[in-house]
Amino acid sequence: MKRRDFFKFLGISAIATSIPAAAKTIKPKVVIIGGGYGGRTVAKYLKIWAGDSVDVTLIDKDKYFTSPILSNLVLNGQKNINELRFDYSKTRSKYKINFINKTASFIDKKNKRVFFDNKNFINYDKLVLATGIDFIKTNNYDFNKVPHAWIAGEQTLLLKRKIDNLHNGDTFVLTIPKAPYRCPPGPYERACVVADYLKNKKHLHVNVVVLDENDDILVEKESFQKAFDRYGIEYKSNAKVTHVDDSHLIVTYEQQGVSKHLKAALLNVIPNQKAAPIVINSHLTDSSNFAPVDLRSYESTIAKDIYIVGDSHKSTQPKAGHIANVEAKICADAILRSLNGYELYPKPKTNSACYSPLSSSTATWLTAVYEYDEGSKSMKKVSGGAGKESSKNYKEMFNWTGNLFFDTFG
Amino acid sequence: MKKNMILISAITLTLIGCGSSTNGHSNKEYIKDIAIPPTTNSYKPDDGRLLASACYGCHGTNGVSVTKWDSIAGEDELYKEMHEKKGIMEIQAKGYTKIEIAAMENFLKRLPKAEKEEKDDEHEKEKDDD
Ligand SMILES: Cc1cc2nc3c(=O)[nH]c(=O)nc-3n(C[C@H](O)[C@H](O)[C@H](O)COP(=O)(O)OP(=O)(O)OC[C@H]3O[C@@H](n4cnc5c(N)ncnc54)[C@H](O)[C@@H]3O)c2cc1C
Repeated sequence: MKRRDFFKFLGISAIATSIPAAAKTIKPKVVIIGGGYGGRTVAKYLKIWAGDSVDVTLIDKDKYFTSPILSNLVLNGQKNINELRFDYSKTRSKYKINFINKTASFIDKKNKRVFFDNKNFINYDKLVLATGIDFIKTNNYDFNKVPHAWIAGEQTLLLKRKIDNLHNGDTFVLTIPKAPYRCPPGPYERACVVADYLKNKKHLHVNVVVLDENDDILVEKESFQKAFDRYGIEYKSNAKVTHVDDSHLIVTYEQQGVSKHLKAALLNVIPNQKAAPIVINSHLTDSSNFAPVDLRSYESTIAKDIYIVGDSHKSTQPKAGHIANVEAKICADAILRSLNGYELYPKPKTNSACYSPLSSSTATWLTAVYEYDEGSKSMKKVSGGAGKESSKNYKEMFNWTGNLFFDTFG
Repeated sequence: MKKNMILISAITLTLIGCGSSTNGHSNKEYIKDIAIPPTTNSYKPDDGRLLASACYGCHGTNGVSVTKWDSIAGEDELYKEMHEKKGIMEIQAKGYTKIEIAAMENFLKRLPKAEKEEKDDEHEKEKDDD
């Protein structure tokens, strides 16, 4: 199919100059950028709750989404990455959602258009950005030499290969960014899973060093501390990465005003984070580098009719996939209320759940409930807790992901 | 309502390999037939439906679980169910008011009950998670 036909097929005018005035659609058009945890759920629930009365188009630069959730288990060989990949066939056929496999390059807020390049665009009545995160690098270095593996896919496989190339006596350094970052327990979880794999599966003596820019283990401290001790992981807090030398694999960090260097056989720097480029370039963020929104709807407080869910938005909620799925439903419902002339639901609630594997057969969990607080216009935690490391939790983890994957991608 | 239900063969979680696609791994555990209410052609707000949708990440779309965890579609004793569980559910239950739970139940009870599956380690789950 030629590009032009493809756009015609989707009912989109492909060429800026050729849009007839009468081409205005009757059905409201919701366009969603990003088909991960947030975006896929917004699209699906718009259709479940409003059916043919709304026209839904999902845009993603990739042909399939690779779930970061469970991706640490690719590193220790407990999961095959194919099990974490979700294409768009069901999204399209089951829910009649249009899918455009392109990178959205910029937003024309005034004319309500998303451009793919200088010419091709799609119109929207409501636009949702569920575009995840981007990284703030300390200096210009190569992610192929120093992988982050914090957006899952090729990076995950690359880190796995590098882990499998480690030898006795090597040093593996993992660095943890300053909060807020995607998945608070994730880096601690990774340190444990990798240390367990190297020690108990590969029978290697590799020094595992964790440099954390935060002043302590952020979540589930007791469980992670115990596991760190068990694996002999060297944990340094208040350690801010200042430079990454990708050819000699030396990380420079600052601790209590003193600059130190560490040479590694494998460096896994998880950089500090910000909203995805299109959110930043569209001037939808504030000084936090994330997008402020009305947390009853996820509509931007900066631009009307643009909504931001998931890791790109700014709030007290963790940047995580389970909660992005819940935020997405609140957003979908709020969009439908707005399109149909109803008031917003005044006190939405969200929840977060997260299982963290600590070895190839044990896991912990962390959960919370958040509620919209009118006074502070923020999400307040109203309940929360954590479960200890056990093999039972490891099995339960897959009961959780099975339903979460299904509710998001199925 | 029940009559209008359409059976949709659920989830493909389609495997896209780079090169060989199967590698002996399968997503069979998630592949089931799931009933999803027909898409309506208009929108009406429903607070209970919105609140209940926060449960689906663990209990499946429209409360129909595809794993060993409980389905909650057709649930008419939601408060009791939520409060007798330990672990994650215990903490979730604490986060919702009676009024909110009643609104969720009012929506969920109208959904057709999902077929009970053989759940081997279901009883284990009732026990404390810690
Ligand atoms: C190791 C690890 C473990 C984790 N474990 C958990 C866990 O146990 N529980 C939990 O809840 N969360 C977990 N997370 C976090 C979770 O994966 C993320 O928070 C979640 O993916 C965020 O969802 P999102 O929709 O904001 O972004 P994403 O899911 O990242 O989706 C963003 C999508 O937008 C697309 N995109 C971006 N920009 C454009 C553009 N301009 N044009 C077109 N497409 C674009 C991308 O291709 C991508 O598909 C984990 C993360 C990691 C790294």
